[in-house]
Amino acid sequence: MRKKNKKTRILLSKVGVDVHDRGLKVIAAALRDAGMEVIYLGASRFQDEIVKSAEEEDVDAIGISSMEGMHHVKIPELMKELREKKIEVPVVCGGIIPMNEANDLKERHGVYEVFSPGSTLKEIVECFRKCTS
Amino acid sequence: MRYELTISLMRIGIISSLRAYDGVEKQTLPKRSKSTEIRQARKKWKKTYDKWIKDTKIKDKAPKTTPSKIPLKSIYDPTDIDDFDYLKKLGFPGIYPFTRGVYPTMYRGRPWTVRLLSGFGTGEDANERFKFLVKEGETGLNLALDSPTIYGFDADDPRMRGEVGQGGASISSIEALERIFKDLPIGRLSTSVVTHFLGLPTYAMYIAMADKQGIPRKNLRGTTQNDPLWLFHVGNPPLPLKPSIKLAVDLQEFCMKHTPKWYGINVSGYHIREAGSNAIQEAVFTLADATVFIDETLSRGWHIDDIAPQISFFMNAYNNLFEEIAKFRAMRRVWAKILKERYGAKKDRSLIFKFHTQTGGSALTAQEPLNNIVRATIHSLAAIIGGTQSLHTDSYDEALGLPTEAAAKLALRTQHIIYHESGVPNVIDPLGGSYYVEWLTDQVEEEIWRYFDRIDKAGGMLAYTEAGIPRREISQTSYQTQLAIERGDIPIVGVNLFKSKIGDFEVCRVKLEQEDAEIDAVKRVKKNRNEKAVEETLGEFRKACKKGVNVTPYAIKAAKANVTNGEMYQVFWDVYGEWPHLD
Repeated sequence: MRKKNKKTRILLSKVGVDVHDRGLKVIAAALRDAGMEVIYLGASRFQDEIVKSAEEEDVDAIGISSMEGMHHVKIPELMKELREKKIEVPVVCGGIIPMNEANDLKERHGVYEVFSPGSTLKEIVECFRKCTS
Repeated sequence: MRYELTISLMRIGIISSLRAYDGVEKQTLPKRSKSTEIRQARKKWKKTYDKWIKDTKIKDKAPKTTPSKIPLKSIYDPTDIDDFDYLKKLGFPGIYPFTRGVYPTMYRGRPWTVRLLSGFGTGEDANERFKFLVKEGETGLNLALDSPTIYGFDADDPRMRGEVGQGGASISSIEALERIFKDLPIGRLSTSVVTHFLGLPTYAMYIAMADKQGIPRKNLRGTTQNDPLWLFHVGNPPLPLKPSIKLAVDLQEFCMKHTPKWYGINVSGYHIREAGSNAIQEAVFTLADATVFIDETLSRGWHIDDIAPQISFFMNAYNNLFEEIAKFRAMRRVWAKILKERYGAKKDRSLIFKFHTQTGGSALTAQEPLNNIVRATIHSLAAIIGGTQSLHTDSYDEALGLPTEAAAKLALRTQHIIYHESGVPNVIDPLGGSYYVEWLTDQVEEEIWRYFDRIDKAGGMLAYTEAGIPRREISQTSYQTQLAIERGDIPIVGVNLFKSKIGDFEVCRVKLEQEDAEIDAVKRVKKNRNEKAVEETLGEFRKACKKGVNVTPYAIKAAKANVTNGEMYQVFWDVYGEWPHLD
């Protein structure tokens, strides 16, 4: 069992071989500055690596970045796998995800929140804080 | 006494410079005896300036530094470049130190190559876009690969579902490459392949394709990015560092022998910048990365004058027009000096910093995307005034997805308008002699040298990379930049200034059916190919990898036997080790 005063642990990753991790790295730094612990998998990671890491690291939330337009395939698959493995932590996504598809990810696939380009670090940090409290 | 000595030295300087410069100095820069007068006039102006600000109670809101933190004054005059030695600093285009351009004629001879990055969906889609761009006046092909191809996975790998053909073309085998280049004159057009990591598998397939078409290898013109180093500074490289360098240099070496008009390594600063570095980090890491490849090639017994001409660069053109122009000018000067003084290169062709430019993708905004047309135009101007050899202008919709045909055409026309209508390319290095630009070029150059010293003291760029220092420094700059954007210190129209919401937009999206078509294609290739030839050539390729010899000829043989990109990469992973995962 985890101790109560333990830092909030966030897993950050991209899913698939997408290399664009600038935003994800910035978010990692912002979450660390906000006192959270970040398990940073980074760019080009497969679904099974993310699920395994989420299990082993006992994380409180997962952040997934998608910049190459594969979110409509990769993210629902990841959500399904997490559900099957009974990893019930909030998943926050961000990147180039059009509004209608963002709503679909939230409503049909159980994604907690989707951030579009131009979102501020403050909003993103606040979201992770809220969903893990 | 001291005063007199100074005066007489100045006289000598003026007399000899007049002789040497044939009047050029006299025309472009004032005599030093004017300096005192200019300083006095400047003081007078500054008083007026300060008074004006005080009286009108306005604030001088201009940034105090460039984006790379070079401190800025409000105006530049001849005294800022007091000791300016025209011939030493600038000279003329095509002549050392090449500050004013790498070729004597620059755009008066011929325009830069208009090279729009394209490739997505199926091979047929990529082919159609290429033909459209060539018909509309593109002069060189620029092929983007999708992430699965870059990282060594075939389209039919189930883990790649959703990513095939997304950010570029999928090239699992020579069959896919042949569909992309169908009916395109590869013997005449030059092709740049943006491989992001190793160029070997796609280059091997390209050579195999040209061999099949009977085009002599020595006539092939193009570039393979083949720069694995940037992926160690940003992103996630699929192979360990040293084998990656080894494989990149294998290709470079093969190009030197067999395809002399093909640049085997295109050292990339573009991605370093896109990952959030500033202009100086982009410049210094790119040049330093190039030295790693040179050192490795030299260690194989080659002469510097054989190696250097076949290296080219890939740079970013970003928001700050003058700092970008100064960056390109300074890089030419630094590169020429490194090659001449550090490596002892003799031929002019070895000393020139030739580069392709792409406008800054991460500077584009999803909010009010039409604003990106203006940004891309400014970036394009920076590249052209900076003396680029070829240019990709981003499409305005690239912050949202792949460019639509209409947006790609507009990007192409942006270059056409600059070339044909603006008058910008009519005079070589048009900002040469600008007090500000010359001063800034000097400052950027000094910063590059200072950084180089640090790298040298740390044992060179290979050691610096192994220690993960560029990676750390780029992330830090990127984070600081984002914080500055959020404080409003770096204004972005539509984002933190004149804020606007992201509206509905039409995106060019690759459909899963297109992906299915590529998956079926590679499956067909694997089913119909001669398995014996696959086994033999792949076996020889594996043996070559293990032996440490140049693997390029074996890759070409394998490509001819329809061995896939994924199969070649599997050999790399077996022999050289798995993903190092640096974060």
